Amino acid sequence: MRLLKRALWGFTGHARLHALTLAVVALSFLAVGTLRLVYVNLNQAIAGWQSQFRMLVVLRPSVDPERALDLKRELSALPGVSGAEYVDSSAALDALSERLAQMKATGGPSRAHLLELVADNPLPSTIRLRVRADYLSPAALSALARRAEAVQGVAEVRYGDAWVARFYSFFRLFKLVAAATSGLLFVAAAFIISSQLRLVLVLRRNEIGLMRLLGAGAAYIGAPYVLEGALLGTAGAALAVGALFGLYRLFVAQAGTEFENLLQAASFLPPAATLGLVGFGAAVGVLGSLISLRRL
Amino acid sequence: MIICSGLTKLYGKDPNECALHSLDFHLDKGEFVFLRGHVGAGKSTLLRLVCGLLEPSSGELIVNGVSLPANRRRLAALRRRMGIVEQEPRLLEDRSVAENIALALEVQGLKGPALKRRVSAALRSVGLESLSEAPPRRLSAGQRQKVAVARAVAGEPLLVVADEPCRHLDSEGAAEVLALLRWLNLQGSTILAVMGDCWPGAGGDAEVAARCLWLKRGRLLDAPAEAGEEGAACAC
Repeated sequence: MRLLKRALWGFTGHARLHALTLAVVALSFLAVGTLRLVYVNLNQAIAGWQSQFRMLVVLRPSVDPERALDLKRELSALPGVSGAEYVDSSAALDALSERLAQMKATGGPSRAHLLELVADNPLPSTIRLRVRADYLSPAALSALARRAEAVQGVAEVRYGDAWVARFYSFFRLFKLVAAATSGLLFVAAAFIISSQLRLVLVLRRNEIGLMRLLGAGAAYIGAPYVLEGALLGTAGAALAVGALFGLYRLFVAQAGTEFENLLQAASFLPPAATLGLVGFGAAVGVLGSLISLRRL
Repeated sequence: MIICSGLTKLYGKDPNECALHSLDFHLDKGEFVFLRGHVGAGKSTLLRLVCGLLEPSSGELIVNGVSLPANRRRLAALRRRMGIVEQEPRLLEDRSVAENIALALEVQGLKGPALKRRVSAALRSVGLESLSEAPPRRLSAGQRQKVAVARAVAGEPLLVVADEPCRHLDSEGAAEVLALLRWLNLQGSTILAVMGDCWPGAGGDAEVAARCLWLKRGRLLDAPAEAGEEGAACAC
């Protein structure tokens, strides 16, 4: 209790200095929190995409339905495949005409006449492969596609390989940039707190000198500064989380109609990540104060 | 309590600028000793060495069994058993008089009602009970000096090291402070106090202190007369 009183004494004693540091720490954590929020939502988007991902195996026109079922069994046995669904060309055509009719019903442009332009069914029979989540990397998908293509009766394999590769390399780069930026911002926040506490130590050198004269040890002198740093870090991170939540709500409210589909799956940071950010704030504060107390 | 053997203190590297020159003396437990001499004799330097605020250039200095210089932990432990009064009292301006005195006791680990009792007793001993909640800026130089003395004695230290504890005080205040030191000495504390040139003797040093150490230009004198006319005039 006495320790907390001494730490709060420091807060009120240098209120302006602490307010400035608090603002800078909060801004650093706001940037980190924003990166984290984008990361969480990208991860969610990837999880959604993964659950719906299908590799499309196009069969040669010569493959009859009986042979197609054999192929389905053969392809199901490939490593990484968790399930397969055979869609013959007439079922594919039915599904397409149904979709075109639905577009018209929802007020979209009518394209039903397009099917009247072609005499024969232009759609091939296909087998749609469900792929296990751990096989959804560009390299594993490419290897699976090569194996599927090698099967007798398969004309081609489609899974948007260029898009998948681009998306994965973007996500990898984002993770790298986010981790590096977050690391830098954490270090910067620790040094800001450290410099500020160093300044406070200089301003209180008379008090510290007197405490030493009275026989106070480094722990007694330093403890309130460590607590002060922890409070600064925690308060800065908590402020940042509050501001981030406000900004997130504002963004969702403003951009809701234009990006409805995109925002449907969007969510704020989960409670564990929020608490983690605040906890990290406390840790950064303690680290900053320990740096400033090195030569005490 | 204090063993000093061949203690020398140089400021800088020039041996001619020797603040203390090969001092040999010792203070037994429970002694009350005045350290006297003119300005620049080396009194404050000796006190700062005893408090561990300066490091000896050579020689041996042992205070309460701790050889100085000592590491921070040992020095802090030593200082917790000491009461130190500086020449210019250092008080925390953002805390009250009582809080300034309490600080010394908190450092010793005292808290709660025991701490409050000790603070009240210390304030009473220097006659400043009415100013316990006052900020130091409202105090006169003499009152600040009394607060510094009260803070030094509040923890009932084994050794009191006081650099001109009667500075800024009128004769009545000086007598009050000396009586307090004397009382503390009777309780078993060892007292080493610098008394400057302005100290007239207040009825004779001998009434208060049992022994006087005379310094002149960094050397201990065998006889007070060697210190000069003033020294001889107030010999103990």
